[in-house]
Amino acid sequence: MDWKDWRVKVTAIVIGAVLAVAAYAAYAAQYQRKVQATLIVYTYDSFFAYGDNATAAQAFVFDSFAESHRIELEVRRFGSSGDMKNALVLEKADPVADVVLGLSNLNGLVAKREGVLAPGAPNVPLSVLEPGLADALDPEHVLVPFEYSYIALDYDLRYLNETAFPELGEFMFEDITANPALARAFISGSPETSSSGLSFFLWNKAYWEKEHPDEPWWTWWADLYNATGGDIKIAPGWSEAFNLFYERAEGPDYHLLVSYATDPAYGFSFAGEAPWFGTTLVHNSTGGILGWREIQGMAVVNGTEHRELAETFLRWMLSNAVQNLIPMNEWVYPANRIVGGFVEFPYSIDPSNVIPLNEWISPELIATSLRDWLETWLEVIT
Amino acid sequence: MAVAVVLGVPALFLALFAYYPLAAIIGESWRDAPSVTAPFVEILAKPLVLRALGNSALQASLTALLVAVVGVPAGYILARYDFPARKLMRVFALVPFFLPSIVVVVAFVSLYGEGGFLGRWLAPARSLSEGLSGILAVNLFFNLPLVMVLTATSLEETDAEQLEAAALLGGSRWLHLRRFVWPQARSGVLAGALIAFVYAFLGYTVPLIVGGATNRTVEVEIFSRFYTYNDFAGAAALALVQLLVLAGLAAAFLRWLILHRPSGLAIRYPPPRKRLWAEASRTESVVVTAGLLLVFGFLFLPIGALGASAFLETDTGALSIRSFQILFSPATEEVLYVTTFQVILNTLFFACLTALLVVTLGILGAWGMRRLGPRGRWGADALLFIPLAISPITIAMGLYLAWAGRSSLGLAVWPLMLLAHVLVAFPLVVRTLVSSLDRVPEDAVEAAQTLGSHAPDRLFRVELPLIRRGLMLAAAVGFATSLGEFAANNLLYPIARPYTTMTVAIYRLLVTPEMSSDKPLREAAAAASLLLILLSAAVFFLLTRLPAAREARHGRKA
Repeated sequence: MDWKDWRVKVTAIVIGAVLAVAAYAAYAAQYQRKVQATLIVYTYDSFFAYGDNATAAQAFVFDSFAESHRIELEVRRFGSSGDMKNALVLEKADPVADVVLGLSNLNGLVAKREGVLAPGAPNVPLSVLEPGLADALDPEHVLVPFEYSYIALDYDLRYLNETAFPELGEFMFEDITANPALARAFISGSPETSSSGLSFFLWNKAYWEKEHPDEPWWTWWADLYNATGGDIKIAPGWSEAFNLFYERAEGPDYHLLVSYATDPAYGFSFAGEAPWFGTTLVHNSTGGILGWREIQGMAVVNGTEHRELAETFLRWMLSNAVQNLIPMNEWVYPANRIVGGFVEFPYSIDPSNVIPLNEWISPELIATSLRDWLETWLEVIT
Repeated sequence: MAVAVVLGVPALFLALFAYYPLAAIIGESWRDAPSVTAPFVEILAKPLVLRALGNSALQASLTALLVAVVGVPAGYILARYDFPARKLMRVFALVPFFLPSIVVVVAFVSLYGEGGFLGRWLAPARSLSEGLSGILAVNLFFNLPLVMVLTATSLEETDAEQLEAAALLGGSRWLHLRRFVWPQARSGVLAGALIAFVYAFLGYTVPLIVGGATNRTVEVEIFSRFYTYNDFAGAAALALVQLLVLAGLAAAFLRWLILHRPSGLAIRYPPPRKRLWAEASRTESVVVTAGLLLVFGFLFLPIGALGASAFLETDTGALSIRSFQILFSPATEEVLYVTTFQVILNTLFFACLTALLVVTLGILGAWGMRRLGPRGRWGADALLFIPLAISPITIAMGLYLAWAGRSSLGLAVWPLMLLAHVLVAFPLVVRTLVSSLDRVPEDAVEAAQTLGSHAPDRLFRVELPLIRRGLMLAAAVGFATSLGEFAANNLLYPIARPYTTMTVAIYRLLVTPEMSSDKPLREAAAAASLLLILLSAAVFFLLTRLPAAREARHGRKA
């Protein structure tokens, strides 16, 4: 063979390229949909990651289900709920997943609107759920709740306590904007990219419309903008916000974090002593406690070839066996009301006294208007 | 006939993967629209969209201005003064232009950021790594070299006789600059400023990472609509608006260029260079040296800081290779869902195949264009260059909508990524190859033709060997483009995780919150950035230096 001949060279390059592409295609093939009876579950990174023995808890949820139904079950995790929703939407033409765990407001609504969730309510016993929960997430019940929590404000007791800030006793949103020290200590995840940020946004909006019906809902954010001197601290996600709340050697300090009402219980279990931060919801003028439930939903993915099996998995998620694990592994309330009735989180707010404001803004309204609200919000805070 | 066949291949490629996706974008924006103008009216009525357009225009104008203000004096120094290592500096000045944007962002943060080498001690320096000033600094970094070199080149082509005559006739220095230097430098400066303008207008990586919510550009806004809300129609309409703005701008510039082409009449011999300290006055020398130090410090300190930060532990400051250990540890795999080796393999696969594909298509395009009449050539030029005005986000979105999302074809993601890389590199590569082929003497080709060799034979035996340097440069451009591509990869990331490339990996390492302090992911991001620089430098060196070395060897033999 004459390597100087261009025909030989070109042939060699073409063969080399074809081989490389073929090898890569073979590598890629393993990520495509599998034909055999495999259930592919999409979920977020931290699902069942906060318990004493996360591996065992996850094995119980996924592996024992797979074994008892004699199937293969594959869990694919995503760094954020947004990435997970996008994967479902972008794969719509050729869906990969069968079940999705962990869609809440924005991402659940977009996923539903884009038609990536199997239409119609899956066959699950909604009667076992905490009253109002299923309708607050999705009145059509395409998305089914499996856990929920109250969004709250955590405050670092070393800097903020009732002695220095008596308003923490019966806290109101207005207290933050009235005191520049509190306004500058405030930090939240962005409602565009984080679930806790979005829940806080909706909580605050519902509160304002209920308590100040004559003012536009964004008044509070405009006040916050002024109180912070135009520098509202918004982090991309909850974890980034928590990192700034938790430990900071220098620079401005953020001691008032948008987070979850059960955080102190996790802090207590983690450290074995009373937590270094307190947590609060907000109060209305008559002292009633007003909260917002962040509800995590699950659904069958549109186009699955294993709908029966997928629905069986959803029922398994609502069963006492799995629901019992939720408090100590997810540090939130199980959706199952029977199981939830026995849950008590130390140092945390008693949910039985809380009025959820979720009914104030219906999921339908969120679905149609959320983007406009967030655009207004972005304008107000920048 | 043969020309039609040869040009047909790149034309078909563009039709399928650039123009058909563009049609899909148009279709998407008009999908449920009540009238032709409705989607645009709707999107342009949104305050955030208007603000994004304003931000893009602001960042682009300021970048162009800044680049001209700093680049012209710097180019003047390169052209008119002689100093040690001048040639080397001129070659190295072009390096930043080929660096992946995300790597430069990491470099700026490691020098000027809150924990950076300078930013840690000097709070005002932090403005170079955040907000609008941070965006402008990185934009300047990318575009300064180009304007500097373009200015220097056009000044070197000034006719020295003219300058001498002007000097004899007297007149102020200012008049001299305005009458003789500026007309020569003008087209180079404007071309550079325009490239900087377009670059900043299409800014994505920099505003996304250092800009924050207040500095969103159109490209970031399109991304956000696509990614956060899956509002494909809105994203598509905005992409079209962006395309129209840029196309209008490009057309205006081309018209200006035709009207103000610098006269090619003068006999050119370059004006002599003043040697610093010897021929130039003391003050002049001090000013020029300070300017040189400032410019090259600005260009190379961040890269140095990046290199250093990859070998220093952030908490203790100790010298170590911990960053690389973290990069190749399971902690990184937990963030990326694939191993770092796989990421490197993906990156190399895309880069090699992009280079091969884009050079093949480029040769066909350039070779065919050479054989077209002036009018045909003008048409082909336009057809081949329009993709330059299509932003990477638009390309990726169009490919997705046309070939995967809305179509029953359901093409896998990785070919789409590959195609996006090829399309982003294509206009530049064709430009490189056309200008190299234009330099091949006609008689060499004709001689071969008379000897009876067939067209493909001539191409491979006569023309391609003669343009080996241009060919390798084109391959290097294709390779570097793929290596640094971030916008398209990131748009498709949720379904392209197995095909994660280095740029996306660096981004994920940057934005993933630190969960354990003993394995800082930021350090891994610095290590990955350094690897990416070394990788591009190595390949760039191989592809651009090898042909020169080979020619030198052959020359000796002859």
